[in-house]
Amino acid sequence: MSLAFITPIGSVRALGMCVALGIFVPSIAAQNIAVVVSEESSAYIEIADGVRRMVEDKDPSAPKVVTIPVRRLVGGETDIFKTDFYQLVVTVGAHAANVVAKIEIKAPVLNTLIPRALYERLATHGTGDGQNSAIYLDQPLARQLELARIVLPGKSRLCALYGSQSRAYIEEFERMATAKGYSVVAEMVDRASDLGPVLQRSLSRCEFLFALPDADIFNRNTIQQILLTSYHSNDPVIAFSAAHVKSGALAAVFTSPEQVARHTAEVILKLYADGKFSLPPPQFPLYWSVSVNRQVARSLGLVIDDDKELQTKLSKVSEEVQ
Amino acid sequence: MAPIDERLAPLFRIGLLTLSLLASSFVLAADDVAMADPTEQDFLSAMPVVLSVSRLAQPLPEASGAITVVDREMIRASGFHELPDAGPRHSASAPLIQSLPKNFDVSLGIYYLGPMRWAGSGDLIPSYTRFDLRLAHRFKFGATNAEIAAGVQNLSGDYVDFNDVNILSRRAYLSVAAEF
Repeated sequence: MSLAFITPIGSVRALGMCVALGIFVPSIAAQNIAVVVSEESSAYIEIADGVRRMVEDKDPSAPKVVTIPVRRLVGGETDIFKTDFYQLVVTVGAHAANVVAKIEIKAPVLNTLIPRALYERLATHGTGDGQNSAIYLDQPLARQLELARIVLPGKSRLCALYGSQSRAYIEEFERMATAKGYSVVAEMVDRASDLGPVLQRSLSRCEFLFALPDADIFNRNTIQQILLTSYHSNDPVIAFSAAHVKSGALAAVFTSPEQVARHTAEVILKLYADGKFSLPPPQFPLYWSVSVNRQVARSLGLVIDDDKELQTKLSKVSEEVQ
Repeated sequence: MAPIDERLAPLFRIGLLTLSLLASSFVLAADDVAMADPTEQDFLSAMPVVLSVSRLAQPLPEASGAITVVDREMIRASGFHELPDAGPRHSASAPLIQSLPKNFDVSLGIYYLGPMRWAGSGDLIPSYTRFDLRLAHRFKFGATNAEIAAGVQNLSGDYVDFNDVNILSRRAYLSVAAEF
C-alpha cells in the first residue's frame, strides 16, 4: 500500500524494482484525490479546504487533495480523469455531480453536498459497487421526526406536503411516522396555485407541519405563504434547513459545510486505512446541528430546551434509531 | 385589566396576520411549478425573514403593559374637533407581486387613503389613490446576493399629502442592493 503514496520518480523506481524482482503490482501508484467544486464560493471552498486539511493532517502519507472548479471540466479538461492520475474523485454540490456523472472517469466517485433525490436520479446505474457513492445533504427523515418529538412533545398529528421531488419518499415517510405513533395528513401539491388551498385544508387537521425536502414546495416564493399560514393556524413548522428557521420555521436539523467536510474526510481516511478502495454505500450525514427560532417558540407559547440540550437528546435517540 | 387583555390579544394577532396574508397571497411564482432537480441551494440559500419580531404576537406575560390613554382634554388640546378627524375613516393597500422567469419580480402597489385632517400644521386633505410599479432583478455578484430595481411611484400623477402645498408628483428611481 505504501507504494501508492511515494513521489512519481520514487514510484517509477519502486515499480522498476518490483518488476525486476518479479513482484506483482496491483495498480500503478495514483497519487491524487480530486475535489470537484460546483462553485468557487465560500461553502464549496470551505468543504474542499476542510477535506484537504483533515486528510493531510491525519495521514501525512495520504495522497494530495487537489481542488478543481467544475468549470474546467465543462471547458473540456476531462482527459486526465480517464487515467490513473486521480485515485478518487469527490464532487461538491449538484452541478459538479451532474457534470462528473456525464464524463468518463476511471476512479471511484464520491458525491457530497448532494440532495438524496438528485443522487438517486444520477446513480440509476453504477451504485453499490464501491465505484460510486454519496454523502447526502438531507437528514434521515427519522432524525427530523425525532427532533419534532423532542421540541413538540405530545403533538401527534402532523401535516406533510409533497411535490415532484419528494413524491418518491412519501410512502416511506408515512410508514415511518405511523410506526412512531404519528397520524399523518399527507397532501400532494402539484401546482403552485394549489399550495394555499392545500395548506389551509391540511393545517386544519393537524398540529404541526413537517417539511419534506422539496424545493418545489419550500422556496423563496412560497416560504412566506407557508410560514404565515401555519403560524396563523398555530401550527409550527419543523424544517430541513437553517435558513427556514431564520425565516420563521420553529426548528430544523441540518448539516453545515464544515460538517460535510469532516464526514467526507473520514470516509476518505477509512478507505486508506482499510487498504481497500471500495466506497461505502450512500449515507446520510453523520454530523449535524439543531437550530430553533426562539422568538417563534415564545410567540407560540412553547418552552424548548437550549440548543446544546436538544443536540444531546437528539444524539441519544438518533443513535438508537441507527 | 387582565381579562380584557386576554380577550383582545388573539384579535390583535389575527389582525396582524390578516394584513400579512393579504400581501402574501399574491407572492406565488408562476402557476406551474418547475420540475427542476433539487440542488444544495434548496438547503443552503438564504430565505426572506417572514416571521420577524414585529409580526409575532407577544405572549401576554411578556407584554410591557405600556398604555396611553387619549382623553377628552388631550383631544381638545390637539385642535381636533372630533376623534374621526384624527385619522382617515378608510385606508387600504394591496401590494401585488409576481415572480417572473430569470429572477425577475414585478410588483404593483395600490394605496388608498380616505379624506383626513392632519395634526399640527397639516390641512384637511382629500382622498387619494396612488399606484407604484417596480421591476426587480436578483443576481449573484460573486458570492453576494444582489438586486437591481427600477420603479415609478405615483403612476397616476400628482396627489396632495399632509398640507395643501405638499404636492407629490410622479417620480422614477433606480436602486441597487447587495446582501452582506
